[in-house]
Amino acid sequence: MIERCIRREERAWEEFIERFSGLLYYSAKKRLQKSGMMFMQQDVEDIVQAVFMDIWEKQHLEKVKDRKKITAWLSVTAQNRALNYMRQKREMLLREEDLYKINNLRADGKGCIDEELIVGLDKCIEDFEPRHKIVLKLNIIYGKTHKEIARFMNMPMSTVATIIARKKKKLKFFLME
Amino acid sequence: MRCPDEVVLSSYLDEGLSAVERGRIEQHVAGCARCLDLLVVAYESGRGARKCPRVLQNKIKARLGLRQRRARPELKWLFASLALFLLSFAFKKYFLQFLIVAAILGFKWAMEGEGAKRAIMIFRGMREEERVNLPKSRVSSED
Repeated sequence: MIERCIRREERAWEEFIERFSGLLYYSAKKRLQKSGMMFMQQDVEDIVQAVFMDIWEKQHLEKVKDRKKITAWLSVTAQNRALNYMRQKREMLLREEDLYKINNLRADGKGCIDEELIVGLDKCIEDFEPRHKIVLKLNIIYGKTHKEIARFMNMPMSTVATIIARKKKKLKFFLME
Repeated sequence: MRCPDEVVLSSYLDEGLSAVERGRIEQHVAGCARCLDLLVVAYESGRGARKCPRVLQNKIKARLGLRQRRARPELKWLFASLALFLLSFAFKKYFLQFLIVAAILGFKWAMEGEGAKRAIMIFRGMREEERVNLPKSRVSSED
């Protein structure tokens, strides 16, 4: 289908939109929620439309390495677009000197990551291997299960379990000191 | 190290990387909360079916200049009706039963057609208009 999209076949594009618009919609919405800013349904729709327009006009699909596994790339693209969109929106408000609006843009924190937790954990795990750091962060900050982490990082579940058990023990020791 | 671009970052989840490339991305992601967060959402978005409003899908198609394909008329009811009509002659014992079912399906086909839908909408619109105008006429007659 992707090859056909690159050749700009209408039918393929219709299929592409129907198959992936949900994924883009979810990614953009989730990113806006996590950014802690208030947004409207229209914002999400604008972002999704803009991503599709970009892919269509700039032939972005040609860039993708593995055309069978396009979902991760689409999601990251939608999220980056969402971040840029909100940045632009914030700058526009600042230019208009409506600073007070910025304060009101903070959402209720739903879906936001605990900043303090990240900073604290980063300090504690400074000396750990990058791989182990990611495993711990996924487990502690994002609440991912061993199975999910194993899939995410493409490693056996037993390895994940061992890393978590060992590193948590170290963390405990570090915190008690 | 600068954040990797979308293609490189997303390829981490696609399992298509060499150990060296993987290690390089991990080195960055371990210390970059933003990139890790992007990957986590990308990972989550790939799990399960995600829905997008139909209206938005149509808007995107329109913006890309794709032709909006009109729904094909429901011909299945018509064919079923014709088939039953023909069968009614084959099985004369159940002639009437076949004929009734064929008539029901034929009616269904007619009601699902664009013309019938339009006629129903016009009829409803007229009734609605009458209902809105009714109080006004009552008020004017009271005056």
